[in-house]
Amino acid sequence: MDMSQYLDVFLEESSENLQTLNENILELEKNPEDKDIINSIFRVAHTLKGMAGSMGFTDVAELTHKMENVLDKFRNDELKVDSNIITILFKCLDTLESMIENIREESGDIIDITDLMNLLDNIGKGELIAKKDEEKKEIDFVLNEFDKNIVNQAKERNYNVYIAEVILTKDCLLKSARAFLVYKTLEDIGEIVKTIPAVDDLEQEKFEDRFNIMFLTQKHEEEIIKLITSISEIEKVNLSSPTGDEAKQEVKINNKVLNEEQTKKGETKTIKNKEEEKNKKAHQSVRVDLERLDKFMNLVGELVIHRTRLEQISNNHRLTDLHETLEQVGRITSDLQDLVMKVRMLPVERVFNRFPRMIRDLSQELGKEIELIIKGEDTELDRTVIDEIGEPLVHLIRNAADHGIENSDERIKAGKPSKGTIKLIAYQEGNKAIIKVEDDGKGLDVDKIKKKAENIGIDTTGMTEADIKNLIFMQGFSTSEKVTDISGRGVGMDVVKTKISNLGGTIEVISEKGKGTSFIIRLPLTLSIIQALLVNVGGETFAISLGFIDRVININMNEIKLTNNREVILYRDRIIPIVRLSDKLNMTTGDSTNKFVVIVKVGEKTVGLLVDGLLGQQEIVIKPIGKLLQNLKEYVGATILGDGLVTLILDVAALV
Amino acid sequence: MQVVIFNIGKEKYALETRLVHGIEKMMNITNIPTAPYYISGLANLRGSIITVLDLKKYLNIYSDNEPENIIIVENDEEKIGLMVDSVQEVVEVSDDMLEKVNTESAYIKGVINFKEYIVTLLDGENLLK
Repeated sequence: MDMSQYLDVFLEESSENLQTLNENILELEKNPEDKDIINSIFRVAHTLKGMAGSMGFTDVAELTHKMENVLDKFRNDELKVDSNIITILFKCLDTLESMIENIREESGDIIDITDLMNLLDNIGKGELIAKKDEEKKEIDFVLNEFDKNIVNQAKERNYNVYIAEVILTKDCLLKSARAFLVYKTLEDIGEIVKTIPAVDDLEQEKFEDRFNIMFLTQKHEEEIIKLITSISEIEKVNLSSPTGDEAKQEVKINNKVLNEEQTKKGETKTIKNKEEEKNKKAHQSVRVDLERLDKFMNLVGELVIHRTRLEQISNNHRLTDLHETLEQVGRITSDLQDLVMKVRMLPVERVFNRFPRMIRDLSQELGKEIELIIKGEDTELDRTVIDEIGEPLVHLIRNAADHGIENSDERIKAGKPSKGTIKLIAYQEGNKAIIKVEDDGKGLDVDKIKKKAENIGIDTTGMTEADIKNLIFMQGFSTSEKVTDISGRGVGMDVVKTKISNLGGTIEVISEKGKGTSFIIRLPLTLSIIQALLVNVGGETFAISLGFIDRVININMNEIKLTNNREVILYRDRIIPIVRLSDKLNMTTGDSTNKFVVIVKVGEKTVGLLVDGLLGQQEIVIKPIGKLLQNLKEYVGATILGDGLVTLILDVAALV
Repeated sequence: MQVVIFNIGKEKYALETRLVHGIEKMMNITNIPTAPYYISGLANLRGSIITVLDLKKYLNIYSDNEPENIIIVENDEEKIGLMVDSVQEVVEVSDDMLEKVNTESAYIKGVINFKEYIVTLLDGENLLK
C-alpha cells in the first residue's frame, strides 16, 4: 500500500503529539503526583507509537515504547518523578522531534538512539535513583549498567576508557572555569561519557577540590595526563581504566523484564482505545492544505474587487433593482471574507507553547531562577504571522533570560525576589495584535548604548532617552560584552526588527534601569484584506491602511508653522510634525491652500501626513507589486479599486 | 522560431513568442512616483497587477508616437508588460535569416533580415534581468 498520502497527516499529528507531550511532561515536573497527567502523557505517547509503528518508522516507535515503559512505572508507583528522569524524557522528545524532522525532509539521516534507549532502560530498573545517591559520595565512581555497556562497546571499537580524577590546587579561585577547561580538553580528544559531579554541578561550583570524568579516547595515558596538567591550578590527575565485564549478564535480565512489561501493556490497550474514541468525537476538524486556503483567500479577494466594481456601476447608472441584489451579495461576501480570515487565524498558543520548556532549559543552563508567565495565548493571528513570529520571540526571550534577568544574588541585593519573571502577553487592540515580552531584570543601560552608538558613529545629542534605547534595533548593535551560547552571537535585534517589519508590524522597547525591560510588538491581524483611506496627492490616488490612522483633520496651509526647521502643526495643544507626502514621493502638488492632514501613529511616533484631498474609506485587497519594484520602500503593495484602476498602498512606517 | 514584430519610433524590433504571454491594447496605467524613469507604472491585467516597462525609455530609442500596445511577457513566474508603439505581426523566421551583430548591448540577440526591411531581435531573458 502506498503510504505517502498518510505521511503528511502522520507528520502533522506527530508534531502536535510531541508538543502535547512536551507540555504535559513540564506539567508533570510541577505536579509529580498527578495521575491524570501521567495518564494523558501515556495516551499521547501511545498514539504516537501506534502511528509511527503503522507507518513503518520503527525507530520512533521503539523509542516511544521505551518511554512508555518508564511512564508505566510512574503510573504503578514503582518510580518517583524527579528532574533527572524528566530531563531524560525531554531528551527523548527532542530526539523524536529530530527524527520526525528527518522523515519530513526525507533526509534519510539516522539518529543513533541506542544511548537513549539504554538510559531509559536503566530508569526502568531504578538505576537512576541509586545513581543520585552515589553522586553525593563524589569520589566513588560507581558504574551502572549503562556505563558498563559503553565501556564494553568502546573496547570493541578499540577505544580506551579512562576515568580521570582531577584534583585542583587548594587556592584555586575559578574552580568551575578550570573544570570547564579540563572538560573541553578531554572533549577535544575523545568523547565524555559522564562526570561526577554532574556537568551542571561542575558549572555551578558544587564540588570540593576534585571531580571525576569518564571518557573514551584513542590517545595514550601519558598524553592525556600531560594535556590536563598543562592547565594551570591543577594539582594532580589520576587515571584509571574501568572494566565492564559484568555488564553483559545484566543486559539479559533487562530484556526479560521488558518482555514481561510488554505483555502487561496488552491488557491496558483496550481501555485506552475507548478513551481515544471519546476524545475524537469531542472536536471534529479537517486538515486543509495551506496552499488551498491561500487560493481560497485569493478568490475571495477577487470577489471583493468585483463586488466593489459592480457597486460602482450600479451607483453610476442608478439601478435600484441591481442595487438591492448587490447589497445581499455584499453581505455574503463580507461574511465569506470574515470566515476565510478566521479559518486562517490560529491562536498564538501555537507559538507560545514551546516557551515554558525553553525557559526551563534556559534557567538550568544559566543557573538562574526564572518564571515564565503567559497571558492571552488565545489571541488569534493570521497563519503567516504565526509561522514567522516564533523566531523573533525566541530571540527576545533568550535575551531577556540571558541579559535581562540577573542571577539570584544580584536580585536579592537589589531588593527584588530571587526568582526572575518573564512575562509573555498577547492581546488584541483595534486591528492590531500586541505581543509583549517583559522581564523584571536590570533594564537597558542607556549610558552603555550611548557609548556604543558614539563608537559606531551615531550622534546621540538631542536624542531622548527613549530614542537612545530604541537604537538597539540598529544593525551591528550589540552591547553584550561577553558572547554566550544563549545570546550575543552577532544576530542582533536588527534581525528581530526586520522580521517584524516584514510582517507589517512594529517593535519598540521601553525600559527602566533596575526595574526591567519590555518589548512591544504590534502586528496586523491579517495580511491581505484591510480597511484603507484613499487620499489624493498631486492628482494621484493612494491608499493608507486605517490601522495607522489616528484621525484626519482639515487645515489651511498657513496653519503650518516652522520650528527647528521642521514643519509642524498645533493640534489640541500638541505639536505634530508634518510630512508632505508630495515631497516624499517627488511629486508636484496642487496649490490649493485648503488641505488635509492624516494623523498617523507608528509605534510611539505621531506624524501628520499632508495630502491634497480625501476620497473615502474602502476595503482593499493588498496585492504584491512585482520584483522589478522591490526596492521601492514607500509602498507595501497595490490594490485594484472598484473602477478597475490600480492604486498604490503607502507604507506609512517607511514614510514617517 | 516564431517572433512578434513591433515598432518603436522608426525602428522594428522582435521578441521570441515563447516568452510572450499575450498582446494587449493600451491599458490604464497607474504612475509610480518614485520608480525608475523607464517604469511606466502598474496596470490591471484581468485582476492581477503587473508592472509595465516603457520599452523605448528602457532601450533609449527616440519615439514621439502614442503607444498602442503592451506585450505581456512572463519572467521568473512574474508577468511584466512591455509598452511599445504598436505590434505589427507574428511571423515564423528561419535560423538562416538571423544575423549576428557586433554590439555591446546584451539586450540584442541579432538582426533578422526580411529583405525589404530589417528587424532587431531582442534577447528577452537578458532584457528582464
